[in-house]
Amino acid sequence: MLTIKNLKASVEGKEILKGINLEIKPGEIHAIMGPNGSGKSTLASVLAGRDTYEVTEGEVEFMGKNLLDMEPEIRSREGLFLAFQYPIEIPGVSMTNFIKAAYTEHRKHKGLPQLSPAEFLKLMKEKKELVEIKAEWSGRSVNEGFSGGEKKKNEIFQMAMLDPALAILDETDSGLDIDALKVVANGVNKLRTANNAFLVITHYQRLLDYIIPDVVHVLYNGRIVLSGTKDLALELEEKGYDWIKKENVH
Amino acid sequence: MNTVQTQSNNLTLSKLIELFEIDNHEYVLPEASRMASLQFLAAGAFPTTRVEKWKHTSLKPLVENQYSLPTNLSKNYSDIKSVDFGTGLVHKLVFINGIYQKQLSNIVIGEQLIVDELSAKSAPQNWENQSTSDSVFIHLNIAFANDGIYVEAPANAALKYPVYIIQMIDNEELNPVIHLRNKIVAKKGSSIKIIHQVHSTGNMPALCNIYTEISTEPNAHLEYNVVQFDLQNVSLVSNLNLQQSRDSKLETNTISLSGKLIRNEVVANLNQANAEVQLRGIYMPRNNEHTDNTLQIKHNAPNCQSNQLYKGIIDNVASSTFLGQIYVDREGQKTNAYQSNKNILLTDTCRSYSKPQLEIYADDVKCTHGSTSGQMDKDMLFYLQTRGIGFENARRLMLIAFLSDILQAITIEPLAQWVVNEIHNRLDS
Ligand SMILES: Nc1ncnc2c1ncn2[C@@H]1O[C@H](COP(=O)(O)OP(=O)(O)OP(=O)(O)O)[C@@H](O)[C@H]1O
Ligand SMILES: [Mg+2]
Repeated sequence: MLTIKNLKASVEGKEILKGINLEIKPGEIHAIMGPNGSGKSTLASVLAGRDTYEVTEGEVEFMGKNLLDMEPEIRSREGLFLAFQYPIEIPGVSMTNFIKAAYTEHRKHKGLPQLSPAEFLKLMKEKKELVEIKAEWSGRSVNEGFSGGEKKKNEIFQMAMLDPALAILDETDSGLDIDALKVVANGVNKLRTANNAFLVITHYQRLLDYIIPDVVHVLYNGRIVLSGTKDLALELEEKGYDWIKKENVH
Repeated sequence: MNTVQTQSNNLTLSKLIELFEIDNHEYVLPEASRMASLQFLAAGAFPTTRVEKWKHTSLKPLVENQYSLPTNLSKNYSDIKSVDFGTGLVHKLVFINGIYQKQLSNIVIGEQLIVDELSAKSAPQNWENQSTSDSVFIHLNIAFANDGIYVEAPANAALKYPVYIIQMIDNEELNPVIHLRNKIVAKKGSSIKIIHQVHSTGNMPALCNIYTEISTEPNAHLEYNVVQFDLQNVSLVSNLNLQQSRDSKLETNTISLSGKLIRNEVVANLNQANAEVQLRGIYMPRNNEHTDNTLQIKHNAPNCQSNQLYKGIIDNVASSTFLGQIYVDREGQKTNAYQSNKNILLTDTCRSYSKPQLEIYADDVKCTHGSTSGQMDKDMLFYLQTRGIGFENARRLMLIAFLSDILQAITIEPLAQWVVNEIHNRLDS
């Protein structure tokens, strides 16, 4: 589904991703861990198409297509979703208008007929229930005045609406209380099929108790320096990152 | 038809005045006021950018053209671009090139509303004394206004239907100079909503100079919406004078969609306690257009509130000016005065100039002002794009969102809808 080969990216001449290799197959859940500032969010942003980062080398194939050639909106319509580490507030754009605009574009892209207003509302209600978010959100502006946890849940709601092939969750668990964490994890698990995949960026092993990863990677200093099973997450929880940093001094 | 003959190609004040000398129109204001203004004008000139109040708005687009007096056009004007009220009722007052068109106008019967065409014969309207004004345009208007409308909501009348003043400029075959004068009065305890539309239908140069006076008596509530559009070759100067009595509320929404040169000057007088004025505006100059909003809010009495909220979207090589002065008299204790001006610059070549000015002589005053100007927020755009919303669509959503608080303040639903549609069309083109 996703094949990243030797991906390098920099910002303002400073190299942040220094050769990433990663392969994700349908049905898999991958977790990425790693110290602050190692490049996890940068990887997520580059995959989503943020143009502040310049890709200097490497290839990314997504569902058989060259991902790096696509505009961010095309990546989304092709089935890539990024749940932001810091979701953006958009004052004046209502949640309903926002998600409707997005959903409409996705249907159009797939050549599917548009839903009637009633059908759309029903779908929205269903997905809201999945992440247990309040009905009154629909009238509010996107993320404006949402609490940290509410913003994260809202990302999962959008993911549920757009039903992506590959969802990248960038620290969706940070700032969530234990109940919200379960709700988010539960949402992910319910959406999981044999045909979609997840890339979960997290600092905490705790999330991986609920969303069981097939592979855990450690990203350090712009490279994936270690990959393993979910036991690797437990090991990191116990030992921290010092030993990895020592092994990877340049 | 008399055309200004010029040696340098520029229009001067005296050349403009010459135009009217052979005019046989009847004028609206009494001879004495007219003469005083003519005297002022005889010694005056169009302000240059060396004049403080015009420092950031050049009259070049106005003076580099020639104008002529409008003549009677025997055309069929049945299809005037305007807000669609569907089956809803509205009092419609239509002017073409500054002349009232009775056959195109329509007053809903049964409403308590007084409407009078202004003319030399109509009763004196008790205009605010503007003899000491330093504005060339106000004096030109006093001297040469030959038509206009008087609108009054009688005491305690709550008007159901809006008053829709349409002022169309036909500059298809003619380069008209137009002076129009209006007076709107909301008597004690009344409420009334007004739309004042100015637009043009052609591409010849035109000069339009409007003076409007609005007064709200105690406990009256008035909403005044201005829409200015399709003025690609028009220089429009509008002076709005507001006079408020105690406990009255006045709201203005000034929507300037397009105009070669637009200057909207407002003087708001809060003359008695507990009066409130809300002044809002949207301006969207593009190409080489320029839009100017110059406001002066005078807190002459205690416990009054004023709020200025102006937002601009500037495109291409267009520019805008916002000057907002808050003046608080010694009498203006417990004043609340707010001002906010925000601009989105769509290109690297457009400009916006914004300047607050405070003059405060009372000590118990709450006053804030803020101004921002910048490109569209890239984080927001990216967020929308990552959800599959295309760049153009995302941009449109964000710009409409940027304007939403002002759009929501327009309480005449068909008008609000129309403005949103016009803005959508603009952003799509
Ligand atoms: N737009 C930018 N301009 C300059 N530096 C940047 C930019 N984006 C990222 N960086 C730098 O790149 C490095 C990697 O940042 P990134 O946000 O990808 O880290 P992260 O692994 O997600 O960290 P965290 O765990 O704290 O979220 C950091 O040193 C950061 O300061
Ligand atoms: Mg991060």
